[in-house]
Amino acid sequence: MNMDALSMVRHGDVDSLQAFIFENGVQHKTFAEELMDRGTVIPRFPLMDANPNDIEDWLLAHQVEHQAMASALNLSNPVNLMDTNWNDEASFYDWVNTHLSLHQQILSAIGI
Amino acid sequence: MPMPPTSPSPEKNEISGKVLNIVRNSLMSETKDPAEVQKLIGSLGLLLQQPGNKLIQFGNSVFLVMVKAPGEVEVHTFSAETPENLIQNYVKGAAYLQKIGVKKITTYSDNPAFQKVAKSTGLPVKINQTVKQQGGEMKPVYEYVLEF
Repeated sequence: MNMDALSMVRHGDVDSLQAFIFENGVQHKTFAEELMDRGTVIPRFPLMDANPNDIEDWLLAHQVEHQAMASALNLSNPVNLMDTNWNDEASFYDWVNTHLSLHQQILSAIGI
Repeated sequence: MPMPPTSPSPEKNEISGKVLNIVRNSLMSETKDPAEVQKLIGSLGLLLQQPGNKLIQFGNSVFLVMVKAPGEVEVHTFSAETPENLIQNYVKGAAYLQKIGVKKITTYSDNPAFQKVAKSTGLPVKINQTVKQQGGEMKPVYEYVLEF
């Protein structure tokens, strides 16, 4: 897992955002497949398919996956990752940090 | 020799981009509740992982098609269209399903106004009253059946 791509995304930088979206999609796919191997099916969305200029629908699909993973792994309900304003730099970095910690929790719970 | 242009398949196995946007807007206008929309999108994401369930898109209308028996499908509509365009999209959706071998289409609505939409398609839709489980309760609904 390339956690750097999840943590080192820079506000307003399209290249690092694309690397983030790709790595995030890879991790979600890995988590979903791991859960499926354990007999739990969660909703799946094409999270690698994101339009950086219109991120609202992606945030919704992404939130739905996080909630389903948290529920499947008996983790506390994740914060609402849709409640953010990526145009605001501070809000964006808060989101990145919160999101990173959610991925770390999932990795730890799954044991990979 | 150049290949003739082909239109993209309306079938989708996943909720992405434009399709998600249509579904989301449709659910928001029905429920007015973002939390409920989130829950319903999650349910839809699960449904689409079952074989036999697909989305088809015509214009700004998305139809969830669930195979109930060979040649028989149940359809649920998500739309962000004007009534006129929605009617056209129903006609296109029905023609597409007939083309791929569907013999019977059933859909349900608790909105009496939908009867006018069904009649406006010009398709031989039979309308019945029945009850269907919605949110853990049995509710009276209209059943629309189109057989080819």
